[in-house]
Amino acid sequence: MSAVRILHVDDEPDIREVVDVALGLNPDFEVRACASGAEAVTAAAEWLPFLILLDVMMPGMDGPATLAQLRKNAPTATIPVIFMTARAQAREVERFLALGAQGVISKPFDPMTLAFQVQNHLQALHRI
Amino acid sequence: MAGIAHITPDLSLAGSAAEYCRLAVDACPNCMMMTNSAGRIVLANAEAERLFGYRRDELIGQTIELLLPERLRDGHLQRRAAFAHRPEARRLGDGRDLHGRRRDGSEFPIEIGLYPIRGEQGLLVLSIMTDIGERKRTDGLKDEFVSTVSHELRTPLTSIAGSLGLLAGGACGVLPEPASRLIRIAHNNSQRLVRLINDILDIEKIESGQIVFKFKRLDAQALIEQVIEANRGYADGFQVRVRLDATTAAAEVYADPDRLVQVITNLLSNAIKASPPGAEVVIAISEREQNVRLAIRDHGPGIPRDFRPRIFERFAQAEPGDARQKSGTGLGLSIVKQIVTRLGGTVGFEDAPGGGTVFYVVLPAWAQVAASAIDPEATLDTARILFCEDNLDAAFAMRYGLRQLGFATDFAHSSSDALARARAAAYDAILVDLDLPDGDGVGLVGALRAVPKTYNVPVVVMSADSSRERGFGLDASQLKILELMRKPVDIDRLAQILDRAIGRGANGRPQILHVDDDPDVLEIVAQALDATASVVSAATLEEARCALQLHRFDLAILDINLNGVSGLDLIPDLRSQKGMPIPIIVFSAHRAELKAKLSVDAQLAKSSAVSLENLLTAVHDRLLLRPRFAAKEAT
Repeated sequence: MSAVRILHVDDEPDIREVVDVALGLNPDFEVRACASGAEAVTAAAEWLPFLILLDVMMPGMDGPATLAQLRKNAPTATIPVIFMTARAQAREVERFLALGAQGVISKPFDPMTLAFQVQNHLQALHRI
Repeated sequence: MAGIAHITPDLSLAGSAAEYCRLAVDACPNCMMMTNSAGRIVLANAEAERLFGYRRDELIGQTIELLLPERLRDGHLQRRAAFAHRPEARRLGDGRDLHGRRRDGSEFPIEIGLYPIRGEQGLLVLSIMTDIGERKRTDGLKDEFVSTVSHELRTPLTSIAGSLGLLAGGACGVLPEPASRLIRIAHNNSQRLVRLINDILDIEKIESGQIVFKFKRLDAQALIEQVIEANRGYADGFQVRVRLDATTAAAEVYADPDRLVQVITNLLSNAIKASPPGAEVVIAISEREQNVRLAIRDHGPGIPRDFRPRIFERFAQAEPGDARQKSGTGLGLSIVKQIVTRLGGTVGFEDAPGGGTVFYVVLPAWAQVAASAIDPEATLDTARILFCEDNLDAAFAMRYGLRQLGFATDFAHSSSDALARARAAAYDAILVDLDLPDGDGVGLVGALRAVPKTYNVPVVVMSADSSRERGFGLDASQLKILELMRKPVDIDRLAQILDRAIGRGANGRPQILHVDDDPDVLEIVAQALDATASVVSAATLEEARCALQLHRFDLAILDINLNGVSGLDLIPDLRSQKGMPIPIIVFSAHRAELKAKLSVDAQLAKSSAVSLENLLTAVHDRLLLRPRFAAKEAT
């Protein structure tokens, strides 16, 4: 089975590293990280990941703006996006889903189950 | 001093008691003002002068509207009339911001308490006012600070808790025993810090009203079972068994499911933590006197007596170092209390028979909520409004507010409920909250318009979310929506809109405009006509014109000489909203020659003792001529 490509976008280097180790618990995952929305838009078009984990609050292009840009570009228009956000309130979750995200994982996340959560999202998407 | 002397000339002769009283009022650090039944200021203390920037002699004799921003003055006249109609002590400003206006035109947020006093000269109203600008600024800074700090703390904490979680979970291999123990301690405490920050943010959001409660009809048992299931793993960790009491009855409540789950989860995790290993936590549901009681019983050591009064306070925990703390934040019960209060319920605790503690939440039963949907205080001729709102607190606040202005308000808790009610009864107008939980408010208005019975009923919509209004803009005229109002709704403005739409004056009575520059005459006439009509008093042409924009009048009573200006100058303004002339009675000491072309219906001299009686007869005759009221009088 070929590797499941996951693109992770967060402006905090430490969080990128923790997510890298946490997702590494699933040997099927191949993870790349980007430090900004703009970087992610380019990387996604080139690498065509299966799924993008996107931080919401980032300087410059924030999560929702990045998602909008990804949706505009044909190659990335249908790549599933999951937002990672601090303490997602029910109302915010609704808003993110309305923007076209496939899910929301709240921060701080449980690193031991992060890979499992991502796997669940991917399976749910494939069933559809 | 002039103001106080103005009303206490006799007391000052009585000796020092009156003098002490005067000194006390003047030295009072709160702004105190008293108005008479015509709404004119008769007393103002030193703080009133300081707060509004007027000298006392400039305040005395003015109407209280002088101290309001111009845009609020109109609504206030009506509010004042409503207060006089039903005077009771009340605090203004719940759920909406009030503003005062200084002499220099600047505005400031204000809190007002109104206290009616029955004096020899009729109804006096004592107003206690406080400038809350500083408090508002501090609150705003605090909210911003808390939210910034929480976010800034959370970012590093995500890295710390994440790294420790991976190490403690064995993601990097097996650690030697002492290191593993230290990592576990660090990991547990990072988790505790996360909970603490979440709790602080929760409290802030609940207190500042940022959390919107979505009320629904709920099956209490299904919800409790869901919470028990979700916490099974947590309970297993403490070797505690959780079960639903066998005697539990089916019960329905009216609450926000997410928030109620948060409350029960919090109480349940406290109960689990308090229990010794091997013990049992039992949750029972019972229905009592139209309320549903959810009780969580633990077999813990009980609540220490000296801690009981503080238990729902923030950061309240039993003895520091107490083993039972088990990593609580000290905010859980404070959040529980806040949420339960917003849900319209109560929370408490008691010693359980045979040891341990019972924490309970009492919520209104759905049946009671459904029964409260009909306004019990309305009479047959009161205008009846249907208010589609899922938040019970907001619904009751609206009913209370509109009741002061002469409306009866029934509730509908969902779109389907609203449609059923609107079909079953005849409503004079319907208010729709666009944030209804089942389906959108726009759909409801569309459905109302599709039925002949409600095709023409006046509809006002409201929303907390401005984007809804924008998205809605196109349909508003098609759906014949009178007005889109932002929440919190200005109830005075709403009442004006409703009055206009329903086509009636406040309180469903004929409305009379009385223009006279003598405050005593205004007051005597207002009292004399109170049984027949609502009287709006105006001392100047400006006040009268302002009142004409606000109210539909059925009759006008004019004085000719208003401090040198002729009251007859108002005649061109006296047209009803349909352009019909409003009947006029001239009630004046000046027997001016009235030109025939002036459409005056009657002229009465106010010189003799019989003149008031004549005026009453004339008013009565004129009103009886109006078919709208003639029918009512005849029954």
